[in-house]
Amino acid sequence: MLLLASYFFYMCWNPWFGILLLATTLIDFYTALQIAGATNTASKKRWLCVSLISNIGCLMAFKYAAFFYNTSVFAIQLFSGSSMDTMANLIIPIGLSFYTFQSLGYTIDVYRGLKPETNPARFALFVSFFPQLVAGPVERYEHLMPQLTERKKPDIDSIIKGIRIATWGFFKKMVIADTLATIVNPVFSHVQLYSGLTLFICGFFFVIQVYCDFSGYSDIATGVARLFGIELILNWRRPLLSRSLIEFWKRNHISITSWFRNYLYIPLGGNKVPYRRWLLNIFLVFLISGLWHGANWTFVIWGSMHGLVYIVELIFKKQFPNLKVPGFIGWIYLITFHSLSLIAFRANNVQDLFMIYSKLFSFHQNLSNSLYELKKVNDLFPLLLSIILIGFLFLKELNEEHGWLNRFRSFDPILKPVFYSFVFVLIFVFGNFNANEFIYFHF
Amino acid sequence: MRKIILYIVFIISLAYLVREILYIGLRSHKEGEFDKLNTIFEKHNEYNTLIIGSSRAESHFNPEVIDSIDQVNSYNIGLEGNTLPMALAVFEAYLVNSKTPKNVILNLDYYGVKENMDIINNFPKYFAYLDNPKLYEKLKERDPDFLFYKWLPFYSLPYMQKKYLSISFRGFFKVTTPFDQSFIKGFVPIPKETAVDPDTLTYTPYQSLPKRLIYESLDSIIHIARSRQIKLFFVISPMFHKQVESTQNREAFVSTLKRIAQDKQIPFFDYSLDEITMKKELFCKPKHLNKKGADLFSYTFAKDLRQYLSK
Repeated sequence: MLLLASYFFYMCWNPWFGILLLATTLIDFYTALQIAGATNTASKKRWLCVSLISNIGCLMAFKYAAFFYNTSVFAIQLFSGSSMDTMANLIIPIGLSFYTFQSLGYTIDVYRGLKPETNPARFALFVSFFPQLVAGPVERYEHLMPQLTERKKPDIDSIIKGIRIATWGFFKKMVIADTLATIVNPVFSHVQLYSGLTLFICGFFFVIQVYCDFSGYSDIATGVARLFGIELILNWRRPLLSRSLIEFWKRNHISITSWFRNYLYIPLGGNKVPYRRWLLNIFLVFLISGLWHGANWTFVIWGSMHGLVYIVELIFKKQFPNLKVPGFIGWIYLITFHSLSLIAFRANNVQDLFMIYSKLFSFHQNLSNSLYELKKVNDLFPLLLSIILIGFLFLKELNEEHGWLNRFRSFDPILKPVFYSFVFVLIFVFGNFNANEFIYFHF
Repeated sequence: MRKIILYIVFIISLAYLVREILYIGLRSHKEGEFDKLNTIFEKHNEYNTLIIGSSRAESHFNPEVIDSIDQVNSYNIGLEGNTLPMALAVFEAYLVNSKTPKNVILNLDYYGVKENMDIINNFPKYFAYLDNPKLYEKLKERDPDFLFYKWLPFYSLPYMQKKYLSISFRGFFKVTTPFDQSFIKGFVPIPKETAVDPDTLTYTPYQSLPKRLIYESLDSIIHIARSRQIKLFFVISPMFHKQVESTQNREAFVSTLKRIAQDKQIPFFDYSLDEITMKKELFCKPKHLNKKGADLFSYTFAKDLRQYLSK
């Protein structure tokens, strides 16, 4: 039943996408069985290659073909001067990057010794479980499958907790992210009209927007899964409270970060290689992770920026092991860097990105002028509301981090229902019901 | 189970409370659009002359000019986007709380009649006034969903949008915008920022085909005027000449209105070919006069009207 519901959910976008999902599932189910049944390593490797080629080939065909082709065309034109037609982007099946990674992770785990699933329907449910199908979290087989097999009946407290988590997720997406989008989108669509400081402030707004958009979806998925008695893995641990980039990547998008660690960083040799090679491995992981987010050079630049700064932090840590950076300074540094780097993530193209950075570093910035520009983008109310919502988000996360309200734990039976009821009503008051898609649906 | 029921009851009560707070904010305006809506739907008024109709009524008739020429106390209840059935609804809703006026000036425009008559332009602006029985009844006739907008906060709140939330907050904090301050007894000059040169636009020819509902609404307005001894006036206010020329059946439409006016002995003022229509400097859009044009038109009209008025 859950399997049918999951396929129905997915095929609501486009029925043909369901066929691709089914094909990926069947290939990985079959290859995993072949890997497990293979008598020698060469044969195992061969079947693993089949899985790798089918999953990565699928990603390449739908997501990266136009990118690589157009990049080649650009390079040829640059050197030969001849003109060639470019290729239009294909429609990317929704959630493609997520379920191919989840499915591929499973076959790699089987290659490493995991007992394969023998029931195709159960495996199909593992790949297509609808709450996390389109935007993660990317689950590990060992974590999700036992729960799907056991299917514990959720008790009332678990249901209420699930509803609360989902409510907070909807609030983050429909209220915070979508309100910020009303300022961020117009500015990034016409970057030439705005000053550097305005673009930087919008970069910061985009940091919050993308966090609320994506973690909002994860919360909704987690909450809905709980209604079925299933606990998904923790995907976000308040990354915006980090005080360094290293800490940030331990808290941010945990499921995909751990996927890259397990299935890319470790096979590359991890930290068990010479020092320079280790740093190169880290850089490569970030570079590929950037490309995973989208087939555009802006994402490659974003990934590279994170890779480089991550490496610099590692070197710094090695050189000055006893250096203690005050928490607030560390946080300011992280937020500033993250805002600057996410501008690359958000920019429509490389030309826009360079224009933004040249404006950012022009040093002719004026706060009152920027506030005037921001007010003009979409009236004063959305701007004030955005600032209040950002404050509200940080207060909630700081409270969770430091347990400020722990002394009032005895009031939880009253405070929590009141808080989440307010949040629920505020979704209807401030929420954007005009079906803004989740940013990560396209990744 | 008890826990969940309690939760639901609490959430619904909270939604009603939040919605009521937002409505209080809207009703707190002392200037601007919502002050006008408060005046029309909530307050007791004693204006002896009313102007009704669409945005042409709203932005072409300046009551201050009319008052000064005709020595009346007038108010403009024209609302942007109003079709004739909606103009009737607003007029009837006005009469619920206010003294019956002696004169009603109905701006008729043949442009408006080609629109879908069920359209209620910017419908969430009426939500705070659904306690006005006539308004509620008429809106529900046009759109049955108003039953849900009135009673279900989770149905109406998402339509409030940031625009109305912002207006509500401004109401609480008594913040007015230049647009709010531009309102003069319900008259709203079109903001300069939205102005376009009407000479530079392309005009697609079209036909106004009045629907049965238009005549029914017109009959209802005439009936109300008769039964309450209100003197009614029909007016076609000026639009830019190129806009007028693009209406292919203008003459047929105007002569129909003229015939109705003659039959019912209603004074009829047709400015659709007035010299004002030729002066592009008096227009901010093809279908709307600017403030200068509106004042000039109001002055001309007020002088023409003087001899017919009941005081």
